[in-house]
Amino acid sequence: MDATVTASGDDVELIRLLRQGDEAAFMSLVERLQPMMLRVARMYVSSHAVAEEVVQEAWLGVLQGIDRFEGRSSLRTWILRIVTNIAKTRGQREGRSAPFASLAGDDLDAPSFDADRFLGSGAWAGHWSTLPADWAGAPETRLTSSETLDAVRRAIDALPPMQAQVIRLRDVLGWASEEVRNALGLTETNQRVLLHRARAKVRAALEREMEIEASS
Amino acid sequence: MTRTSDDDLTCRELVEVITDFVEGAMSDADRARFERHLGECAGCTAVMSQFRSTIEVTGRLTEGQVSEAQRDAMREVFRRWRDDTPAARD
Repeated sequence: MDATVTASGDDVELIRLLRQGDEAAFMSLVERLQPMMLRVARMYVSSHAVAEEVVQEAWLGVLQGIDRFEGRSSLRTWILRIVTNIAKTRGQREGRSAPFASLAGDDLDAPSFDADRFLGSGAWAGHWSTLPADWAGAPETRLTSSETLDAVRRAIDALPPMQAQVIRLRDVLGWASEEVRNALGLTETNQRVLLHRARAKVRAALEREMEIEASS
Repeated sequence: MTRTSDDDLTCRELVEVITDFVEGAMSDADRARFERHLGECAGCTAVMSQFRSTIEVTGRLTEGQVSEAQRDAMREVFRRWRDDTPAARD
């Protein structure tokens, strides 16, 4: 379990600068958070243009609320939470319902590996039929080639929206699980299940990529 | 690995709880079962390492860029807010 994530030392300094009306501090936050804010908003509203309006409204909310922000969460969590709330309200006004099930994907219970990867019967049922490859034995460049990175990017883009947001926040941006839960309004279990599905599918995409490169 | 008892995890079961394990969301008993299987299974050890590589490679990606138009629009939001609330600012 992770400890409670509250405003960090960097956050405290940023909050101080924002309260003073420091434009450079504000723009640095925009650079860091805006792409993710747009992705989160887009889950709930009908178009990219509306998502941009939501994000703009959220930034104004951040500025108007910064004097009252008490630092009980990290600054970025609080900001993404504001986007989520505004986007949900806007989506409802648009008559758009975005139930959790449709955002999370209908494959949360799907197996991480194809059934034929395991023995189906006998004393060893459920154990590997053929051993998974040890990627540590592959040349380091294979895992880090631009083709491999592209494959990972495509795999994430193809995920159901909430799975994609969770893996982006956790593994691309390195947020703590508690920050992600609070930012996206997920339970601990939901966050973990979404992360597992997302990582399992990216792993499978990487495996295909490693096999292609090994055989070429 | 050697099959010891029906209480042990199968490989098929282990791969579905890898994230529970790495997120620290397992009971002590489940964690012990997981580690016991891992200690004896080359295949699952390889998959654990594949998940670690997956996380590491994903971490090499970067998030999208902010467009110039977006940047200008947000700067505008900021300046309007700052100019509207001069009393609160230095």
